[in-house]
Amino acid sequence: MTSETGFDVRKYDRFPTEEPRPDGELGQLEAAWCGPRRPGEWITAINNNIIGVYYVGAAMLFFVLAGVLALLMRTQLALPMTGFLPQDTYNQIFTMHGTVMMFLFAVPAVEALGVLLLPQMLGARDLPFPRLGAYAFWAYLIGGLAFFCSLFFGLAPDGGWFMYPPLTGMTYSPGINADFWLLGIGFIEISAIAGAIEIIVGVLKTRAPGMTLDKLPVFAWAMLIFACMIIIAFPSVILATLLLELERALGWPFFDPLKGGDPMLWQHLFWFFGHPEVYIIFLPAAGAMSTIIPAMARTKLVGHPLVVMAMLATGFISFGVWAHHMFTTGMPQISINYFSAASMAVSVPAGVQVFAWIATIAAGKMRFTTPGLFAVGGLVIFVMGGLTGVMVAMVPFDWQAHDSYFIVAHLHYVLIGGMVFPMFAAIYYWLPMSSVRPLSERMGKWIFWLMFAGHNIAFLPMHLTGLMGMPRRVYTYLPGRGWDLPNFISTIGAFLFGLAVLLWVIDMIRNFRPFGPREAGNIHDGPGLEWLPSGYYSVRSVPVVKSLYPLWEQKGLAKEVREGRWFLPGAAGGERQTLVTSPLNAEPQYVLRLPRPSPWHVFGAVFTAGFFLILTIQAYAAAVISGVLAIYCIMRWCWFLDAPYSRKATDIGAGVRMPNYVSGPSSHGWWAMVIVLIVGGMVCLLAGFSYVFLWSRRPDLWQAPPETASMMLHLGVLALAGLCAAGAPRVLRRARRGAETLATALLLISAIGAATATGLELRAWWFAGLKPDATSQGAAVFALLGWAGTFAGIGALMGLYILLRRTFGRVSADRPSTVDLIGLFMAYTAGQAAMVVLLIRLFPGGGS
Amino acid sequence: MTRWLAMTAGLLIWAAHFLGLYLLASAADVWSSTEAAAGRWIGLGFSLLCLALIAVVAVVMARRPLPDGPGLWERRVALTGALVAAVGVTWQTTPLAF
Amino acid sequence: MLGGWPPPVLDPAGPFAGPVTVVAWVLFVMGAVVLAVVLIALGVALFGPRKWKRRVGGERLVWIGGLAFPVVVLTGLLIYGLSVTARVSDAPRDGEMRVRVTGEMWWWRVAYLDGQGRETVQDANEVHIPVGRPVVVELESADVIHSLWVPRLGGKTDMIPGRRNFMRLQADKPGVYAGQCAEYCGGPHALMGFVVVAHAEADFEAWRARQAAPAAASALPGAAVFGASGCGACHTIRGTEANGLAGPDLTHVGSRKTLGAGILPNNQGAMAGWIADSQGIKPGNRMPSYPVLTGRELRDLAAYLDSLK
Repeated sequence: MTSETGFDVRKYDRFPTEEPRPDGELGQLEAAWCGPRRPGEWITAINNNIIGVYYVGAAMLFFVLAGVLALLMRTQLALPMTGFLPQDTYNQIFTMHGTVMMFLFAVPAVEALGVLLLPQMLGARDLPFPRLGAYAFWAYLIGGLAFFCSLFFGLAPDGGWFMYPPLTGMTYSPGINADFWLLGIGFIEISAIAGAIEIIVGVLKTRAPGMTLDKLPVFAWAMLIFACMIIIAFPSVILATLLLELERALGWPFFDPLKGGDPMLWQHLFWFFGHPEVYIIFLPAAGAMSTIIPAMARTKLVGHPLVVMAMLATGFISFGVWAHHMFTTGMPQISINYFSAASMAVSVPAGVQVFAWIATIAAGKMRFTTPGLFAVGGLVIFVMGGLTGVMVAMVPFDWQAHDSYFIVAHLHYVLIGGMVFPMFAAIYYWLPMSSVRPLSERMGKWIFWLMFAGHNIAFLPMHLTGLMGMPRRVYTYLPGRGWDLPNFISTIGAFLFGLAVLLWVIDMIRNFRPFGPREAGNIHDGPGLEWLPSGYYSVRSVPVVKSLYPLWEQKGLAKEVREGRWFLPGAAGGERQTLVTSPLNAEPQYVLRLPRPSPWHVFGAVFTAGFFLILTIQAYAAAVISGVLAIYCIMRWCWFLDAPYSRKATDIGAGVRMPNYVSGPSSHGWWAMVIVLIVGGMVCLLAGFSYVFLWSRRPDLWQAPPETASMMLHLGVLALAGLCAAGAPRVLRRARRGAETLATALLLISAIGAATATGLELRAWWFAGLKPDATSQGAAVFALLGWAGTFAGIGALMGLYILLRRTFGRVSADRPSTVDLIGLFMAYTAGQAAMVVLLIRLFPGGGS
Repeated sequence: MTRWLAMTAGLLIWAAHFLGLYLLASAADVWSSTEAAAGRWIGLGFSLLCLALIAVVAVVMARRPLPDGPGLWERRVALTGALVAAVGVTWQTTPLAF
Repeated sequence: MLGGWPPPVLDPAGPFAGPVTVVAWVLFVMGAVVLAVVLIALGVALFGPRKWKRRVGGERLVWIGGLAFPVVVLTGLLIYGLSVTARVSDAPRDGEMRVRVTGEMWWWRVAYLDGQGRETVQDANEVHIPVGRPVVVELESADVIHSLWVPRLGGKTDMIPGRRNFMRLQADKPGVYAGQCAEYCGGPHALMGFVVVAHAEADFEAWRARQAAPAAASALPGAAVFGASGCGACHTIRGTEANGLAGPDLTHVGSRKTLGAGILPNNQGAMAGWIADSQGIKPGNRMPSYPVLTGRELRDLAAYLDSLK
């Protein structure tokens, strides 16, 4: 195979090395990666082995909390007209149950699994941006807990987890309850995106050498696709929440039909996110199934390329089915039919995976351990949910089933079978990697059977209840409709499920002992690299991977790794390091220096969460202060990036030398920035869609744009800004005299140019008579320009930052990454603003 | 980059097909009517084009000399992905007849 | 009312529901068969003899079970589904009877339209239709998104502010068909019910004539209580001075099947209880409770309203 990077793969033959490792090398590695000693260090820790455990724990906490809400709901619905919960309370509780489960449990849980497992699984020492991951975790934890507490003040949102306007507009939801959802969930999405960046760069750039795509673990494939889907889908809900918050706070009519808005816009934006969201939740769990079942059956996964293809296909096709949540809204028949066809198509790859799992079980000898039970039980439940999914993909049937308890049954079957059961399988399977003792197998079997029975007793009757005409989201129901008995049975099932979870919590308390001196280890004889002997530094040395099942097929690997006979056996210079490899063939490219723990990302998370939450309670001055402090903390955190280093290269073993620093398109920082810009681009693209959509609904409201001369001026300034931003990295690399100052100046000019042009464009529209709270055109134009302006504002902050770095001598021609990344961002900002200007000026053109 | 494109080519064409039909129907809804025959025929032509593209991509990939280890695996992913994409495109074309 | 058995979705009473019920049964049978196949394959994989496991334990199962079989079945289902969709959702034709139902929080404003689309008769929470003819229902909303669902007669269609949607209802036998709002609209969404009453053709004409007529002059003491309590500010009784539009039209409230939008039986006791404490029955609804009225006044009011047949 031709080399991807020019690396000579014959160098792999030098490994495993023969000579004994130098004295003190292991000690130096342990010291560099030492775990927390003082109490505060447990909070500033950034190692994925620690943050991963916290993250899974927080997600499961939210699972339990939202589960308690479900029990309250089922108590209310056990009998007709019980009056156990007042109407308002029930409406808040069901909204919170859905919101917490979807946003604070499901996505974070699988993301947490990735944080905990991926580095080990890939042979890396940690994720590539540990502080970013830790920041995302703390923001999620603080924000999520504060959000949940809104229940205790009667301030929880009560518009349903998908929060349709106009019900959630200011007129019909005047309290701050809806704002809690919009601002609270809005920034938790930022947390998810930060995690997605880590996972994409981690899976593509920090694998063990030799781990070509066909040897990439299926779970890692799943996480990669999951993260890419987040990047494309989450911007839609970020935009939707921004628009609704603007409508509520400032009266900009995106969804208010009286001024040209359309409630359907929310539905399109929400479901463009919402449907991929459920596959985002399912895919990592499916990846876990594809890992656990082969391990439990002690045989290779049957149809491995088909399974990976199926996950890719699911990732793509799930973006084409969103309007199957809108079949009853009166959309044109042909559009509805396209979504029906695509919804059928998306079930094909799911079936491929299910049969691959069955074939794997048949090819091996399945062990009925707790992980195996949860995997098989999950498979059965998921298949049932998938079948009802095909039913509701048929439009006429959906017209009856939509918004009834039939859908409640369907969604719980696919989510519990497709995610919750695999999650428990994953917890039982991988817990020995992080805990001194594994969980009890005996209790595990009880927990499984209780949960399986409880689930079916709770949710199977709901299919019938739906067919009997019971709608969703009802706080009570009238007697005499035949709904009494199925509801009562469902409640019994729910409490059985709850009992199972309680037993699990008890077993966790009895047996889960993380951060101990040694872990229980590979008690299930799993094949993956995550089962190599490890410490806080993950593996002692990074092996060359020659198989998809390294521990089964590379004999003696564990011993060799522990003896340091593969790559990177120490911590050169006492630094934390991991190996960066190429995305396709995993050929070594450079050594990534990882940071040590520090408090700034924690403070940054606290103040970021503070900003959004204080904004919700409308204490604006305090919110601004919190926001400024957040920016300060983030800048302090970034200050230590791109730092000078003493050695240019490291010997990563057997005389193979790798650079310690790489800039440009191969570098992990570049990738992270590009992903951020894709997120920004998706928001802008969807905002542009919203603009065109609103125009198509009310073309009569559209007024003509300001005169063309101003457009040419603004575009000219933006072109200049873009050129300066693109030029700054080039200037810096030329390394002529004064290059650092010139590059800094170019970036400052770019920032000022983008901000000026965007501001002038806003001003031109304002003085042309367009007001954002008067018509949907005004709202859309100002929203688009506001988005462009936000980027210009962040660019201005970056200009300030680079100026500070230049002042303190931290801009240097041999370390151009900071200027590269800021240049990328600013060039994108100028380009995005130009696209926005062109759209609002040229479409639909001269006005009505 | 080309290896990634090769693995996802079929699915990318599926995505373009879906987007194209949806935009076509939306445009028809705004400017005339979704029942209009012209829109349906354009849709059919576009669909056949997409199917042909998937077929071409698949044939080109299948005809290449047999690659080694990872390349062979990647090709299997690409070809089976193209098959699923073709099924999706075909199903998405059927609404044009109703 | 909405009965329990058989489940209304599986007990169709008109041509827009019948084909959908058939679809439902086809899907249930198909689903059961597929589930059985999967469970059998899984059973063989887990517990089967070695020879059978070997048959099941290869990539061939994935190709057949995961690709070939679903593609064939789903192709058939898709075409079937598309054709049923087309069959139950023709566009409205000229000459069909039209009714406009506007969703409000948390009741239904009903208006019968003439050939030119003008409102002729107002009513609330009930739609009367003749048997055997399709009736076009125009669906609008005065506030938030609602959804009209009468499962025995067909699927649901949403009422979205700023848009006008259409559905068609047809009942093939006389009867009372119950439904409920199916899009969460806040507050007492759970108690927003609806009724469709289908009459034989002759009875329908008689009903329509009665409904078009204004309320007869009444000497009942309740009429005076009605006037004195200001009820006419929100409610209309054609033929009297009461002409409020905020709440349901009460001109013929005595002959409605239900009160409170499908949640109470229509008798004088229920009427009196509703007026006295509607907030206790349906918390958050837009009609205030009237604890200030005495028992005598409530009885008189209920008797008067009951007389408005």
